[in-house]
Amino acid sequence: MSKQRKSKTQFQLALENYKKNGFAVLCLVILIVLYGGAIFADFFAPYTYLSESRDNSYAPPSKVHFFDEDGLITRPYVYNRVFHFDEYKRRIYEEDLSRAYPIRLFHKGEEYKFLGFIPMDTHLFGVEEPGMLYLFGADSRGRDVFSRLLYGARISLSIGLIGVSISFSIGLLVGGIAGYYGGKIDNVLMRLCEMFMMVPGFYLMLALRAAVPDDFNSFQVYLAIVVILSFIGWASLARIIRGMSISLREREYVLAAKAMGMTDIQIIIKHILPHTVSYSIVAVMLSIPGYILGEAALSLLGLGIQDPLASWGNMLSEAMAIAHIRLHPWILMPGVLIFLTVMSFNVIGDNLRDCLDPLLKGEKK
Amino acid sequence: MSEILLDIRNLSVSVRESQYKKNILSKVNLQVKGQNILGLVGGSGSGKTTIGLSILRLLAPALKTEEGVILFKGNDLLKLSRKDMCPIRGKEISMVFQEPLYAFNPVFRVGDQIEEVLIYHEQMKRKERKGYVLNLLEKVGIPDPKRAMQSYSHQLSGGLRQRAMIAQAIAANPNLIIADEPTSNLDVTRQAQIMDLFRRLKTQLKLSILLVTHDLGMVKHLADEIAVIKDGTVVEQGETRQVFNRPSHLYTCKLLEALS
Ligand SMILES: Nc1ncnc2c1ncn2[C@@H]1O[C@H](COP(=O)(O)OP(=O)(O)OP(=O)(O)O)[C@@H](O)[C@H]1O
Ligand SMILES: [Mg+2]
Repeated sequence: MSKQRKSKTQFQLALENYKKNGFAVLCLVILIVLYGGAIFADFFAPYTYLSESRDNSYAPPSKVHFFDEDGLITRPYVYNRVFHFDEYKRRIYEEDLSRAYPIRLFHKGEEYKFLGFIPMDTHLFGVEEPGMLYLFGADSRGRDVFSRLLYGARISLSIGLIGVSISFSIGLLVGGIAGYYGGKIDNVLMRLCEMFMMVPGFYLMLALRAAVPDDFNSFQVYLAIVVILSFIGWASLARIIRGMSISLREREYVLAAKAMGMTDIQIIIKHILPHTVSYSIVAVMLSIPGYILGEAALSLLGLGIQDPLASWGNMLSEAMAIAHIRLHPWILMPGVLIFLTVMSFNVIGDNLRDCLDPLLKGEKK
Repeated sequence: MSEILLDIRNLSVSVRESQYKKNILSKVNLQVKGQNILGLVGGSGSGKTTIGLSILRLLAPALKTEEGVILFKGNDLLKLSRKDMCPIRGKEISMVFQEPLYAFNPVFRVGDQIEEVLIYHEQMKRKERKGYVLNLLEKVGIPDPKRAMQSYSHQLSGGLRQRAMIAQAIAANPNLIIADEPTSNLDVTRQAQIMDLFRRLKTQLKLSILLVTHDLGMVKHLADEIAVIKDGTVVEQGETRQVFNRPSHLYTCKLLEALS
């Protein structure tokens, strides 16, 4: 038994502890599903983010039928919709029962480049033209919300990861250097951090966004947003890493590493920063939501990702008017996904903290 | 028979505490000859560790080298820039610490940490390095080198850990090892084994060793020469037998008395 314990690495132990919290496992699954959807968006989505059909503006979610007219179970199918205007000139959609469109797996639809480079036209599912399948309804221009959510996930979810990796690299390095060297270097770097921390994040974000040239294309805007977001988070991390680094530099293995001929920067990377890992992992998890929300906020204000590119934030901007929410509640879907993502990252971060923190570990037993 | 490898002359180190300055080392003179073991003996707080660290230029920021030269192979180490010190540390002069439990980073495997020396100082392929480390661990007499390589430092016994530390110190074939009380945390049999190991390595690898200790008995059997340090000054240096038979300083006499 003791032998078994020994052979378990720290990682395995942490994993075991992690599994004890069922809700956190569920959140992990949610994230895996969402990120999986984002990666394979063009395969999972029946349409591309561009395909629009003005006749279906704000079409409600398609009803998927499982039984035919005789009440017998059959392959799922949908009807197309036709609309007429009511007394307020609003479109009222009704199912057009004249033709049923069965939902087909591995349907050949619009062409796309799988993962960006393999040309393909097979989608996981879809219906034959001129049928339209709107699992989560359509937006103002009749674009499929479900497809756009998947494409939007690519931007909204990756922005968090990329942003966090940039700002954490800066934060770890600055904090590591400041704490390790101390003295003047420490002083200068920490005052710099404070300058960043002093400005409220959202206004800093707006100010930086204002500095981005107007003629950027959407990819450049995406990059600019990532950089802007990562400018905000690094300072508070740097301060905490600095504190850890100050105590770590006094360890004897740091002296031993110096005696071995390692240079300062090698020591910071190899011997100081690895000891901040368990803290950093938790901090990463807990700060990713900030980036996702940051992107959403910018896009919601129209300063972020521009239509027709989809991001959860700019999709949500359609839901700014209360009337829209009342009439077409499905356009809130991106908000639901943002909520799920943010919650999952927070729960995972919290749970990771519990199972990585050696102090809490003792308490739990 | 052998020329002087390390020559410390007039080394003074002081510590600045707020206002006043206190000398920790004052005008230390010390010579280590090639392929020789020099035992540096002295009481607690006499400045032994400080000498070791000043050779590698690793003194704490509060400590300052006031004067003196440290000639290693004819070059003054005190004149080298920080950058030029790095290729010397570990490659020419390496250090064995008193408590290897702390000298190894607890989050990395011992084998990987020994390998690091090779990464920084030797051009070797990854595969070669692994074999070399295994070889080193065998050379310092670790019975199950494969397992030791894969272990974290806290999983090894004190004796094995100290051997692994020595393996790390000799990895890049240095000329001089500074061993700071390498056996003070071990029991008597382990101490004897480590002493044997040092003696063997000295001849096998043509090493010089600066053996820092407060244990005269240990030095008696191992060292070719002895230097006695008291309150930051070396009061006596000479061949072991000579110092034991005819100590020239009162403090040495007292130390010897305490031993017998
Ligand atoms: N960083 C420091 N700041 C202030 N004083 C120091 C510092 N390092 C060492 N000293 C002082 O220098 C003196 C010599 O210390 P040193 O560690 O060299 O002694 P030592 O001979 O190695 O003792 P021991 O046998 O206990 O290891 C001691 O009086 C100690 O208080
Ligand atoms: Mg000491």
